[in-house]
Amino acid sequence: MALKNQVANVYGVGINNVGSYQVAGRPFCATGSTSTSRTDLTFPTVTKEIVVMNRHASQDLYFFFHTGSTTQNQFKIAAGEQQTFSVKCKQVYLTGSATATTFSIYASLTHIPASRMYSLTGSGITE
Amino acid sequence: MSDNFKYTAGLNNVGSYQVSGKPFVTASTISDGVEQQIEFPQVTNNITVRLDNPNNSVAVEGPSVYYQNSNTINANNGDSRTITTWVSASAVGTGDDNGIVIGGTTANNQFCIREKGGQPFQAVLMSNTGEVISRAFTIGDGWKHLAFVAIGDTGFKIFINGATAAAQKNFAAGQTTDGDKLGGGLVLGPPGLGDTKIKFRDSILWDDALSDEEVLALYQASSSYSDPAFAAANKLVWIKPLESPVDSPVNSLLNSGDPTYGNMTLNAYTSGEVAEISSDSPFTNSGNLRVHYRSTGSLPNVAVNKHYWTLDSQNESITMNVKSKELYLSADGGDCDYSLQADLTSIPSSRMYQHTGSGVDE
Repeated sequence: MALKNQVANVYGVGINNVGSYQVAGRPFCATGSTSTSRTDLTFPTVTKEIVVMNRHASQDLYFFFHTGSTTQNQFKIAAGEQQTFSVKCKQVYLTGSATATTFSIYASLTHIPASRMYSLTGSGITE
Repeated sequence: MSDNFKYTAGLNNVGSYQVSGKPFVTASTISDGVEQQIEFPQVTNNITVRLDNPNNSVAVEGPSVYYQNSNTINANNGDSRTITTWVSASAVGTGDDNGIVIGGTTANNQFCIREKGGQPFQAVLMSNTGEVISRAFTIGDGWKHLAFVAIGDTGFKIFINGATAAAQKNFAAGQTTDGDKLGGGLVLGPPGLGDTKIKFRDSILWDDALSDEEVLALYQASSSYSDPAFAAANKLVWIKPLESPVDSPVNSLLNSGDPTYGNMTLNAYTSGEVAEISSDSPFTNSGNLRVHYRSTGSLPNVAVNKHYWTLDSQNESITMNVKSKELYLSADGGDCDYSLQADLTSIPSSRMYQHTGSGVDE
């Protein structure tokens, strides 16, 4: 049995636990394509950093954090560009300006269970 | 454990900045000379601002055509419509190809402006009794603002750069517009059989007839990137375009008008034709985006002493590792599209002081 399960004051990972983000992360890689219809990506644990690359030669890729994100809350990544987001989350969403907008995602994951991540909403997410 | 020893997120608490942040994403447009304040709900850890380019256009050459495939925009006999666009024809073909340059329907070119060899354009509108009225006109070289106003019970007017370009053409007595021909979404291209390249910017299909004054106001205002709006008419379709410059073929164009009617798609494209996003535009101003931490309005030193960071080329960005509860963006020399993403700490913005002093407003 793990020590933290036997002794009450042993620290474990947590959403506000600094050490959980300071250790090197577990890799998460995904490559795929999306269209004007939304593509959802769910992470097994909470992220510490996400790198998104638009691999398409001509179409724009839109990246956001809530199914209800307005156009203004979607980050446009132009063809061939990539963007790094140093954020914690458990799910992200993508759409393309047309069909077959190809992308790659690399995420550095913490060991924090996704169930401990709160729902993202509000200013900068959905409004 | 005593509450006295319970740590919370704080402005000078290292851990508050070491955990990954909560995402914050926003994107918008700032008009030339305007300043925008962005307030964050919590204190930031990192902020990235990127300049996008609003000054693009749609370029077409050859028989391929953009239009809306679904969600038909219905119209009734007697309805009015207006098509406005910035247009540039790099070369004028000599043939009379009768292809749609821009129109409100693909139905037999009966509400459109089409290519006409030697003129080079001709406005066409069909009445409810099947009579076609038309007027040929010359548009000239370079970027021009074109307005085609179809008036339900009268006929149509043509404007170039806000001024009447040809005499008003009227229906015969008792005739009106034909709803079947007036309905449908916006159409861009074809400009002919490949001998003419035409570029479009801010192509709009309005659901009513704009007045002479509104057409002039639109021409005068649309050199700014501000959203054109009139009380009497709504934008059914608005192709700016929003997409980044890219070579052919661009298979779809985002509709910034009524989302009910969807985006435009490219049809009948064959290799060698032009259907692309060009970096050319009628707007000569390419604005600089200034990033600063105090308002220039109340504190002239921000501008005078240049306490800002300038982004002046497309997709140029800056990432700032700073704590702040607000950020100011302003456009200089032209309108600016921008995207901003930040990672936020858990520190309430109420605990953050306002930046001031050297490097900010002195």
